[in-house]
Amino acid sequence: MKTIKLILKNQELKRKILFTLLLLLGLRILCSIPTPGVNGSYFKDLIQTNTSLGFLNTLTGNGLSSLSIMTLSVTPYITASIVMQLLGVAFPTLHELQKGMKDDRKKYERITICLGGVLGLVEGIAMAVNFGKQGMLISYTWYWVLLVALIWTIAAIGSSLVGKLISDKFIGNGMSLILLTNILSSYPSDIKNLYDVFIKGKTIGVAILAIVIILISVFLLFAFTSLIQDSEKNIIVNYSGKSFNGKNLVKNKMPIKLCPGGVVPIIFASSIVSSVAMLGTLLKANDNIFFKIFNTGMWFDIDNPFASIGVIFYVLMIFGFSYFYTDMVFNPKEVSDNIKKHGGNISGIRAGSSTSDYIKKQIKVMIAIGSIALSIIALIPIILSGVWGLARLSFLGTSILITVNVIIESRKIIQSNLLGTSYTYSGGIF
Amino acid sequence: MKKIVKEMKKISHPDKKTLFKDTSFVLITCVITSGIISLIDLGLTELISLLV
Repeated sequence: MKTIKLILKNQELKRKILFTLLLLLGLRILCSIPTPGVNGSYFKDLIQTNTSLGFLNTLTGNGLSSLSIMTLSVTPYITASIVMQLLGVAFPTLHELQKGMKDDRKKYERITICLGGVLGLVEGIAMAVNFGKQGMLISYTWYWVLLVALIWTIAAIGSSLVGKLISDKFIGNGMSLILLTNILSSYPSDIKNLYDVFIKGKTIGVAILAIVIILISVFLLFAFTSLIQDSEKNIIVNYSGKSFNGKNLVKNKMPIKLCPGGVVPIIFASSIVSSVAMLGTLLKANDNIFFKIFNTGMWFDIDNPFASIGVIFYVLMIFGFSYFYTDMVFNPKEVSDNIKKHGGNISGIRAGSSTSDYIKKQIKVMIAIGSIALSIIALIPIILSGVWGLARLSFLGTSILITVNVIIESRKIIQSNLLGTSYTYSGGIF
Repeated sequence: MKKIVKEMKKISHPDKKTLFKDTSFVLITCVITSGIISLIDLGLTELISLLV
């Protein structure tokens, strides 16, 4: 309440929040506009049976299930980000652009948006051609295929630009906020799913017990996610020199987050699984064993034990991307050089390469523990879906990580704006 | 495994009060925002079905 009052008093912050909300509302309106020439109910049943596509649907704010003009939403931008990060390893120039000064980073973002546009067009055409034949398009002609693909691509580029506009001119990380609103728009259907499975048709006593258990479980899951996001290991760095109280040694804490890569590794892994599932649907090959492995709806399903192999791939991808992404965004040598430059050292560790090796080792341990925690959160909805036959619950898994991360970080940004300080979005999604 | 458990003990966590406050804040924000979004969606769906 106190923060709200302070926001209302701060004209500049009030304006920024208002414009951010208006832009997000604009995108929500676009999500409700149906694509012309398309059978809007085509995807609804398909998403119920394939939970990998359900995740894609959540990221598009139900745009995919309703085949609105926001069918692709920011997903091509997410894919483009993954491709750009991977290309950065092969092409150091790209990596330098990403890590460079403001102008370099802007150039890098522009390339990502353009690549997102190209990927959106390819994805749009592939969907319109393959699903169009199967009845998605009311009239399957080259004209309608091209028109539908263009509408989806333009809307996808538009939403990416809105995300960037929010990040640059208004408040918070635009792309993360768009993802958050998309995820939150799926909550009502989740409540309905839970109601249908655990409450509908039950006696009052059982229904009340189910409601209490669901509420406690949801709270505990959110608390566990918050705990993971806020957990860190502090490395004590000693700085020599005179401090304000006359002592010669100043001890500073250097925090290393439990998941240094934030939610990016899990988004990357989920996006790959969803993309393969989408490819299987496009090729009408969902019964093929390879595509069954990438259908999260079949994991932990007693009738399809072989499909559960996909879980191993998924967990390995979370671990792999955690190491890979952290390695790209965090440079232990740079940190150790900075410590040395400021006359600091870690107790019992020599300055230079020994410090760099020590930090690297600590990060690896944190990534290992963090990846286990991320895997647990990611697998909960999949286990629920396999055991109870629940349709995908958008507030679990990857979505809960994004939700908690974006809400907590956005609160910190608003608070720092109120204090007149700048806050760097830590563990930002894109 | 033993090493991981040992390392886990060295990790600092937010205290219970902070964790409870943060979780409540996130959940309340989720409920209010998703409520508003679903109302907007419902309104828009009705409006579009009237127009189309």
